[in-house]
Amino acid sequence: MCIRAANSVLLVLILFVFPISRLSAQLKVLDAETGQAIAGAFVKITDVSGVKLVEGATDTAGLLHYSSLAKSFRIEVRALSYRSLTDTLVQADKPIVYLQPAATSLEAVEIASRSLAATTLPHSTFDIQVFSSTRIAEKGAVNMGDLLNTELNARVINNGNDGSSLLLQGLSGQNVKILIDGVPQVLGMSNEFDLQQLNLSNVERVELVEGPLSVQFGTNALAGTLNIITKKADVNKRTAFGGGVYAESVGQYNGSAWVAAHRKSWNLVIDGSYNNFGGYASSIYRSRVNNPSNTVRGFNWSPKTLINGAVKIYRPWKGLNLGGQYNQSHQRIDNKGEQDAGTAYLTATDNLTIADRSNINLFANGKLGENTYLDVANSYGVYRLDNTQYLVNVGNNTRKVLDNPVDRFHTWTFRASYSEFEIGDKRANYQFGYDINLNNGSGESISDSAKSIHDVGVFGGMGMAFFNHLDARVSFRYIYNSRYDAKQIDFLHAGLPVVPSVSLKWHASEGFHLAASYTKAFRAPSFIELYREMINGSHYILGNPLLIPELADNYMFTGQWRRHLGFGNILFKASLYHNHITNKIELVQPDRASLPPQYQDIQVPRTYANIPLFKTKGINLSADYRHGERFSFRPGFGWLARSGSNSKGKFFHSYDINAQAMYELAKSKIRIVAFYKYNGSMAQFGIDESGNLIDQRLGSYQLLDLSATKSIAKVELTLGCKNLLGVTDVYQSGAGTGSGLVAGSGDFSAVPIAWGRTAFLKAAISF
Amino acid sequence: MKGLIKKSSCLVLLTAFLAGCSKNDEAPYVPPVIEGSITAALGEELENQVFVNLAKKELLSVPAGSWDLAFQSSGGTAIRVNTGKKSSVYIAETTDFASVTSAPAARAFAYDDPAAMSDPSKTAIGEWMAAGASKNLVYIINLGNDAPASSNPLGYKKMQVTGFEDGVYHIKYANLDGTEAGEADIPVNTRTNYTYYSFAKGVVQVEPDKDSWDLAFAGITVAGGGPPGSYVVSFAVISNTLNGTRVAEDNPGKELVDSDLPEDPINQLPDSESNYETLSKADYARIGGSDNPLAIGRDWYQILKPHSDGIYKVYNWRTYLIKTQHDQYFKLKFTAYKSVETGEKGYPSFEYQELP
Repeated sequence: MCIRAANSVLLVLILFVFPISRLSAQLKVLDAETGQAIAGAFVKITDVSGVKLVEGATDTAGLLHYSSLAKSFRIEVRALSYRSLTDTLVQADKPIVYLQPAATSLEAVEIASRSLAATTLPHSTFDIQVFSSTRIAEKGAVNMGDLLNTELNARVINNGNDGSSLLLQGLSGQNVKILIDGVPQVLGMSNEFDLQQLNLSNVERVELVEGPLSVQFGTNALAGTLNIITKKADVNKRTAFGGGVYAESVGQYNGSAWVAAHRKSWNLVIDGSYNNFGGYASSIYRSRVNNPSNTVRGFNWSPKTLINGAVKIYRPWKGLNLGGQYNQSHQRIDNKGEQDAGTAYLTATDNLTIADRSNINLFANGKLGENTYLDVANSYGVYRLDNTQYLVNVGNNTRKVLDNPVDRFHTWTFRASYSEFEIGDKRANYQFGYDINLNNGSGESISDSAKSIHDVGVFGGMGMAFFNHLDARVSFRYIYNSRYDAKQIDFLHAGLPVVPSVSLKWHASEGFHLAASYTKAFRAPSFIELYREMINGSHYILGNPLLIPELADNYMFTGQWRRHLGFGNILFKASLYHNHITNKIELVQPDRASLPPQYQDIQVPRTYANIPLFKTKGINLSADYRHGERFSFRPGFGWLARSGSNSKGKFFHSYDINAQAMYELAKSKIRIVAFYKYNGSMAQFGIDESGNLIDQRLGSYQLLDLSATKSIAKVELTLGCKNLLGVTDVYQSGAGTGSGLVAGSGDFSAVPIAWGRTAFLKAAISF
Repeated sequence: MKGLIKKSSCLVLLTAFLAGCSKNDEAPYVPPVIEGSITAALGEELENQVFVNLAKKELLSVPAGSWDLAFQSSGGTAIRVNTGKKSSVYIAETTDFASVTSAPAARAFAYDDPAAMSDPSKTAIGEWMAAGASKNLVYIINLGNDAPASSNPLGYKKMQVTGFEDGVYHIKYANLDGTEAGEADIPVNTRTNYTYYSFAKGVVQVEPDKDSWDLAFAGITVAGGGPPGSYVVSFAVISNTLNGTRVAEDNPGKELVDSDLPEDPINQLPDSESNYETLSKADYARIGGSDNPLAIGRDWYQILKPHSDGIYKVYNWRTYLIKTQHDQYFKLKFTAYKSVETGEKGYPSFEYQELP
C-alpha cells in the first residue's frame, strides 16, 4: 500500500553531516516511504567550514550530478512536503538521501499545490496517502475509481451506468470529502461524488486522508478526505506545456493537454482533457438479453464522454498568491436500452444523461509571516443534470424524446482560515477560520417545497508539543445550519452546537510513533435526501424533510514503526478505527402503513430515513519493505465489520488483502509494478417489512494489475495490463434488501465490477 | 500574457463547442409497424376499457373510470365495484346510514375477486339480500383512483342497497360526512351483462350489447405489486363467457415455471416455438374451451425484473383459440403490450384470424 505521507512542509531544510570517504558522481534523493525519486529537490553541499562545494536541483530521476569529492560534507536538502531526516548515513552508505514526509511545520505553499497537510494537518495523527503522478501513470488510472480500487480499506462500488462510489472505513461516499487544490467541492445535490467524473489527466497528485477532518471541513469529512492537486506553473520557466494520451483495449481513450506560463509576476495554467469510453457489455449481461435477432444494443458499462477544462490565473502579492480559477466539466452517458419485448422488439428506450459542472473560485493564500498562513477561497458552482429519455425505432434509428427532466443545483462557498505554527519551544500552533456553504436546487426531481440550505462553520484549534515527544492537538467547530438546530450535538451537555476533535501523537523513538484521536462529526441531510420527489404509477420515492442530521463519533489509533536498513526502509503500520453514527441517513423502504392510503401498495416505495445506529470498525495492517531503490513490496491486510440497528446488532465482516510490488530493471531503468487486491465478500443488510434481518452478499473477487514504466527523454511511457484475472460481473447471493451494494442491483444475481482483462498504453510528455 | 489569455479563451470556447455538439438536429421519429396486428389503446394508466368484436374487427373504447357500480342485469343480483380503478368495499356492520362517518384503514377494504366476473357470489359486497329483502347494510365504497393505475384518490362514498324490485335496483348514498346525499333507482339493461352506475352521472352506458363483444381489455385489481396483502391494478383480457364465449389455449411453454427473471427458461423461449400458424378448429376441439372469463387474462405477459424498468415480456408463443357466442372460431396471439408510438405500456397489440 502506498503510505507516502506528504505533509505540511513545502520547503524543509535538512542539515546533517556525514563522513564519507568518497562520493560518487551523483546523489539521489528519494522518498523515505515510497522510494520514489524526488524531483526538484534543492541540494547544497558545503564542507565542514561552510564553503559551498555543490549546489543544484535533482532531476526527474531524483539525481544530482556533480564531480567526485572525497571529504566529509555538510549537506542541505530542501524539497516540497518533506521534513528533516535525523538518521546518519554511515560511510558504507551509497549516496542516497531519503527524505521523510513531515507534518510538524509549515512553509511557503505553492498556490496550485496546496497540500492538506499544509493547511489543515499540522501535528495531525492521520496518515496521508499520496498518489503521485507516477503512481497514477503506473496504475493506468483514468479516474479516481481506477486509482483507489486496489487500496486497502477502500472499496470502489461501480454502477456501470451511474458511475462509481467509494466505501471508506465501511462508510459510503456520502461521508468522504472531495477537495480540489485544497478547496472543498460541494455538488449541491448530495455529498457523494461520482469517482468516474474525477478525471486524473491533469493531476499532479492525490492525497487521501483516512479519518475525519470534520472540524476543518464540516459535513461529510468523516471517513476520509480526498485532495486532488492539479498541475502548477513552474515559476522557473516562462512557458511550459505538456500533454498525454491514454488508450485501453476495452475502448477507452484519453487525451489531455496543459500549458503553463509565467510572465513577470503572473502565472497562468490552462488544461483540458477529453475521455471517451465506448461501453462494455459483460457476457453475463449479454446472456440476459433475449430477442429474436440476438442483438445486444446496450451495455452494463455505458458509453461515456467526459470533457474537462480549467483556467487558472494568479500572482503573488505580499507573500500571498491571489488569483482565480474556472473549471468546467461536461459528461455525457449514453445508456442504450435493449430491444423492448413489450413492443415486439421493434423499439428501445435510450437514456442520455448530461452532467455539467461549472465552478469559479477566487482565492488568496500563502504566507503572511515566517510561520503564518492565510487561506481564503470564495467559489460559486452550478451542477446541472439533464436526463433525456428517447423512444428509438431500432429499424430505422429514428427517435423521439419521451421525457427530459432537468435539475440544477447552485452552491456558494466562502471559506477562510488563518494558521500560525512553530510558536516557542513547545512548537505551539493554532488555526481558526470560517466555512460558509449556501445551497439550493430546482428541477423536475426536486420537490416544489424545497428550500435553500445554508451551512456555516466557525472552527479553531491549537496544538502543542509536550516533553518533546508528545504532540497534542485539540480543535472545535461551531456549526450553524439554516434547517437544523445544531444544538442537538449538545457538546459538553451544554446544548452547544460544537463538534470537537482531540488527537495525541507520541514519538516513542526514532521511527516509531503511536497516535490516538477522537473526533465528532455532524452531517446535515443533503438536498436530495430532503427534497427528492419521484412519484408515478410504480414509484413513490420522496425525500424526507423530517430527517435529522447524522452525528458521528470516530475513534482512531495508529502506530507506525520504521527502520532504515542498509539499502532502504522497512515499515510496519497498524490502524484501528471505530465509527459510531447515530441517525445515519439511508434510502429505505418505508413502512407502507405510514404512507398515504393511495400509495400503500405501490411497487417501489422508498424514502430517506434516519437509521438509529450504524457502526463500523476495523483494523488495517500493512508493511512496506524497500530494498534499495529498485525493489519494494507492500502487503496489507484489512478487516472491516459493520453493524447497527438495521442489522439488529449483528456484525457483518469482510476482509481485504492487497499487495503492491515494484522492481526496476537495472539496465533499462524500466519500472515494473504490480497491484493486487483481494476483496472479500461484503453484505448489504437491512430489515424487511416483517422485521426480519436479511442480507445480500456480494461475492469476493481479486484484482491484479501489472505495468511497466520508462522515461525516455521528456516522455514517460507506461504499458500495462489491468485486471489480469479477468473479473467482470460478480455474483450476489442472499435474499437481499432489494438494492444490493450497487444501486438498483438488488434484482440481479451479478453486478458489474470490472470489464475484464485489458491492456493499456499511457504516454505523457512535458516541456 | 494577452496572447495566452486569448489562447485560453479559445480553449474554453472549444470545450464549450464540443459540449454544445451533443444534441444535433435529427430526423423525426418514424414509428415501426407491428405487421398484422391491431392495438387496443387502454393508456399507460389503464384509463380506458376496450371491448373487441372479433368478427367485425371492431374496438370500442370506454373510459375505465366512467362507472362506480355494476349491477347484474339478469340471472342474479350481484353488485360489482370498479376494480378497473382500484375501487374497494368496506362492509360496515350496521344498517344505520347516518352513523357511518369515517373510513377504516386501507387494509380493511376488500376488492372484488377477479373470479366474481363469472361467479357473482365473489364480489366484495357479496350477498346483500337475505330472504328476498335487502340486509340494508351500509357499504363504504373506496372510489379508487382518478387515473385507474395512478395514485390520485377519488375518495369515499357510503351506500345502502335498499332493494331490487321489478328489474330496478334502489340505492341510497352520501359522502361520509353526510353531504351530497341522494337516492337512485337503477333499472337494469337486459341487453348487457351488467348495468353500470356512476355516483356523479347516474346510469351510464359502458358495456356494449352483450352479444356484440367477445373480449374486453381492461384493468382489474389483483393481489400483488408489493408486500403480501398488496393489490395493484393490472391489465387483463376478459372473455365474454357470461354470454357464451369460450377460450382454449395452446401453450408450448406449459412445462416451464413462471418467473420474472429474464434469464429463466420461460423468458428465453423463442417465438419460433409458437404453433400459431398451424393451429386449427380441430385443435380447439382437442384442447377444449374454458368458461373462465380470465382464460386469457394476464398469463400472456410478464413484467421482468427489475420491475421498475418496465420490461413487459410478451409470450407470443401462447395462442388462444376462441369460440364466440355466434359459433365462430378464431385464433389469437399477442404481439406487444407497449405503444410503438409512445413507448407507453397499456397498448396491447394482437394478431388474430378466423378459423375456417
